[in-house]
Amino acid sequence: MEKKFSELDFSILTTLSKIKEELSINDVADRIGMDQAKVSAACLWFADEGLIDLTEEQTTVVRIGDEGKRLHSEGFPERRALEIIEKKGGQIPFSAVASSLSLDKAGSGEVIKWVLAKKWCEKKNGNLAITDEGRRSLENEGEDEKLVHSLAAKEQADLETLKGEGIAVEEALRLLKSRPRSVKMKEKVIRKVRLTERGMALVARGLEKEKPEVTELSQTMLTTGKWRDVRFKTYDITLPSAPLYPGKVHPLQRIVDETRRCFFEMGFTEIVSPHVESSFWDFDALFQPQDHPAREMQDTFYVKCPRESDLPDASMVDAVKATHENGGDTGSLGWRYSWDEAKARRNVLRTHLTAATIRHVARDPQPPQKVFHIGRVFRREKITFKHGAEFIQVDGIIIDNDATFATLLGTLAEFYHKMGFDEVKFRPAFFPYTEPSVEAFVRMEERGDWIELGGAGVFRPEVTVPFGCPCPVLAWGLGLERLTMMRIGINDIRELYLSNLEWLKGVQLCR
Amino acid sequence: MAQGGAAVPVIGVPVDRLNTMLREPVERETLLGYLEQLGCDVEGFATVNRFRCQRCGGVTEITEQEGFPTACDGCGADFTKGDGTAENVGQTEVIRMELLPVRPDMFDVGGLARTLRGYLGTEVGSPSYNVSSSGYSVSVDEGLCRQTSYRPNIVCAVVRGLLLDEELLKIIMKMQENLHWALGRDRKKASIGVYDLDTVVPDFHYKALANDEIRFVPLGGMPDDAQSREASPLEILGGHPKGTAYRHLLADFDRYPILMDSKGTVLSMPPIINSEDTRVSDKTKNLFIDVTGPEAKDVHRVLSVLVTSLTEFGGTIESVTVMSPKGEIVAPDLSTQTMDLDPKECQRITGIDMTAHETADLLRKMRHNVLQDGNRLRVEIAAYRTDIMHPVDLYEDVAIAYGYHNIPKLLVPTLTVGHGRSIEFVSSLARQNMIGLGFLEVITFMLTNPENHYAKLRMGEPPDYVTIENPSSIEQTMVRTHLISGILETFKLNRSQPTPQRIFELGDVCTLDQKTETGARDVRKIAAATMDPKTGFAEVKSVLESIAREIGLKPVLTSKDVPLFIQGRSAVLMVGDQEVGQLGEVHPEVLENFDLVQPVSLFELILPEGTNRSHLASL
Repeated sequence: MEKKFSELDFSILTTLSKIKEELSINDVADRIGMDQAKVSAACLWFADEGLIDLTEEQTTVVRIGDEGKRLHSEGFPERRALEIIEKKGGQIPFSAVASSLSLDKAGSGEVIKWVLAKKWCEKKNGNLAITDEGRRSLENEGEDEKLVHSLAAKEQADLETLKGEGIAVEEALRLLKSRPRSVKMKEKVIRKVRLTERGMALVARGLEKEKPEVTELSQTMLTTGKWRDVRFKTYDITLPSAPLYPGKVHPLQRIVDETRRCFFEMGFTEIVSPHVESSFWDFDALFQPQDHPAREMQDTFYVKCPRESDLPDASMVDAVKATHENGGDTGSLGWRYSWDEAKARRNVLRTHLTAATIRHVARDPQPPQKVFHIGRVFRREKITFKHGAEFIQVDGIIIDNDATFATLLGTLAEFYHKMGFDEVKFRPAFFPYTEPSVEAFVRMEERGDWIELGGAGVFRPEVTVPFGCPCPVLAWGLGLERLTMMRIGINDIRELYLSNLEWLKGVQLCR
Repeated sequence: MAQGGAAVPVIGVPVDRLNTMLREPVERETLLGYLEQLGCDVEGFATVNRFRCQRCGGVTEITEQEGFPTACDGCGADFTKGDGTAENVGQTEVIRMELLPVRPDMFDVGGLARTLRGYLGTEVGSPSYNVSSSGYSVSVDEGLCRQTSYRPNIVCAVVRGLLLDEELLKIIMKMQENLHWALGRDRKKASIGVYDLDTVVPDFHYKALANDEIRFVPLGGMPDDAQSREASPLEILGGHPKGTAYRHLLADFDRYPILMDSKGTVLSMPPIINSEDTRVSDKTKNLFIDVTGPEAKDVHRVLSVLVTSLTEFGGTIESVTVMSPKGEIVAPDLSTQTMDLDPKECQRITGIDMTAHETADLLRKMRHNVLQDGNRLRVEIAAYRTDIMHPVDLYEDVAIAYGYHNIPKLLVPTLTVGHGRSIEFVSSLARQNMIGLGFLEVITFMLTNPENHYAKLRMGEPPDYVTIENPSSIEQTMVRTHLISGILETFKLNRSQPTPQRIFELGDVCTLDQKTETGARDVRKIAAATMDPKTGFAEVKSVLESIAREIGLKPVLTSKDVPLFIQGRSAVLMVGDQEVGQLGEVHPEVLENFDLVQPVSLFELILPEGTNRSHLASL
């Protein structure tokens, strides 16, 4: 048997091997200073293994009750009475028993009953007088008293033990029987153990002790190598643990990053444009007539300071002016009104990022190029669950000799596939600066519906020709809030900008 | 890419009438599909109830779910105030869809049917319109060219032979309303009047009259009086629902535009209201129509769209001569516009591979007449197609007729290599650093107000910063110049949540810069903060130093008292002689201003543009 023994098992077996005689399990537990229940369980196991002989003895156990405890702490009332009567000269009148003993009538009756029963006193001419027996008892405790005092210390004890203490247990029990809740008797099995021969032999061969159990691995254990001599307490792995959240990038920013990566993967270069933008780039360069509703104060934030922008080279301004007024060199009829340079200078908070892409066309119109811009745009809207006055957009353009409306649709389909939408469909749309124009819809399986997710088109010649761009320019854009809200399942756009940190922590990275 | 502008009205297209006008039955769902392929934003089918106003005879249409109308679409009578009553005169099933603002010729069931018949191939090419002369004329008073009674342009037409039932009456009213919205810019650029021709005696006079020179009964009557009371222009502008709604258009006028017949019967006061005497009812057989406005091209356009649609309901058009101080014109002018189209160029833009012949057929489906001249197509465009300015507009018609769903989805074959911007690369490093330190990223609005942005932070208001001329609320009147108020406002929103709270924001702010083209410049900043009973200068200094180190910045910390922070517990960051950031323990008064009851330490830093690894693009 190559078993290793725990501290407990080791102690039990060694102790029994030294004592060599039968011991009660209580005794064993006392000797090794361990919990009796654990010792008992171990002994039963050893008995099964044939290492220990276990015998059971039926015995009676006496247990102290509440009344017994009171008798112990306050003393037996008849003894107090005996001592008082002694002090008063050995006798008192019956009529004065209650007052002398400071007892009520019932109490005094009870005391009288006991002193008479124990023959400590007798009735003598209307007096209660101490007997010889009574005098002897002043010096000696009765058996009932001895039993109560002995039990008070240990709660319970078997008859043998009590007899061993010199108590006439039968006599004591007889006396206490009429005092309810003083003591109680119970039948009990006492287990006694001793080593079997096999057990002896095992101990003789030498027991290997199991390592002690520890909870924590300490630095000392590691530096001293003590960890080799211990066993680690095993855990209940089903217990709940404290929730932990990492620092996180904002969900909207995660979509921005994802979008940026899509564009890079498709060979696009990132560009930038200012938040404060001239009407020239935000509207005029995009062939939006100066009386277009989108330019009204009601829809667009005009900037009070700085109020006006410088306009680009006169040649560009003249070309844009001519295009608005009569089509210029673009082959268009134009809007046929008188274009006002002052209106073009007026600064606005950019209303879309197409301002950025047309700036790029003006700066560098030669194909082939693919560029995009992600940034914030502004609309004069009241803030509601659906709209903010500002939101994040992305706009991309392709300047290419082989660019066509068909390649625009293909690029859009590819872009939306990359953003995680398998199904994309297209519908004709209108934008003042593109023709043909299209709106893209993606299929949201969860909603079982098509969601509009961006507009696109081929820039009109009225937009590209004034800046000397020789080939078609494909353009598209979309807002990223809606996409983000669909991804993380929220319905109120304000949650993105007015952050509840507990919510923010909880938004999973995989969404 | 953005459309902009106000919300688009929704129209109800009567299904039975549409089917009749299509001349061959189309399956319900298929019909919706076709409308979508033409670019319509279709909501679906609905049932509407029609109510006739007993004051003006106008018809108001609302969906079954909406119940009973609150006001008359025609005269504006408020039914809820007992201004008049309305009677339910019937029910129709309609297709509800958003207007296509760029195609006013498709605002009504007639125009829509005309387009659909082409798309379905039932009737192709441009419709031809016979316009005979009515022999009537309108004379225009010189006064209408004056600054204070300016609405000089008028064009008129007569339409005969319509069978006006309640439904058609409603269709015409809606058409008028929607044309006012789309082409008229809410009656500013053009307003339409439609009258019962048989209630007037031609010829007509368009005059500018002073308030005391004219009285008439406005359509529906004055709301406070007996319906038959005559009112002066100023009384109408002050008391009639349509007067109060549109009087801003005549704000500086001292004489008012009035259209009257030869007997002096008033037809209307454009662009406000018609007269009760000339109102159209289901007994009306012949219509007299006028369109007025400041610009000639706008009024012509609107009249062309309107009368061509009315022919779809069986009307015949007659012209009216306008005699104005500028000369004599005859309207409506329904002559076609001619535009040359190069099929090769069309193919180059659309990417659809097809012959000139196929291109011509698709154009005919879109209701254009096409003459093929070798490799050139000469396209005749109907007068109602006011949206076509350039051959690219015809290319789109070709693409729509071909069907967007049939167009091949291709990619440009050209290889290009993408590059990122170095500031985004640096931003990404900074973001990684903060995430690694366990900070949560927040995003806040760029728009704010000086009280929140400066005063609450004990910051002096700078002499100038980017401000908005027409803010939509007092909360948002300027563009932020730092990120700190956004951070503190976020803490305020989360003040009942457990601490420590660690957050950061990375984003652009705007500063004025006269050297730039626009006068302003964007600056990329990062701000981070901890709210916790144990936070302090030492913590924020560690955090700031970590980020500076990781992005390769070597700032020098200089002790400086900043009012935002507790005195002696703040510093600024210098790179050379440039102040690039600040840090410290937030002043208790500032905490109080944001209702915070725990200490906050924070820093803000301008992110540097340059890095030696900008070629990596951003991560």
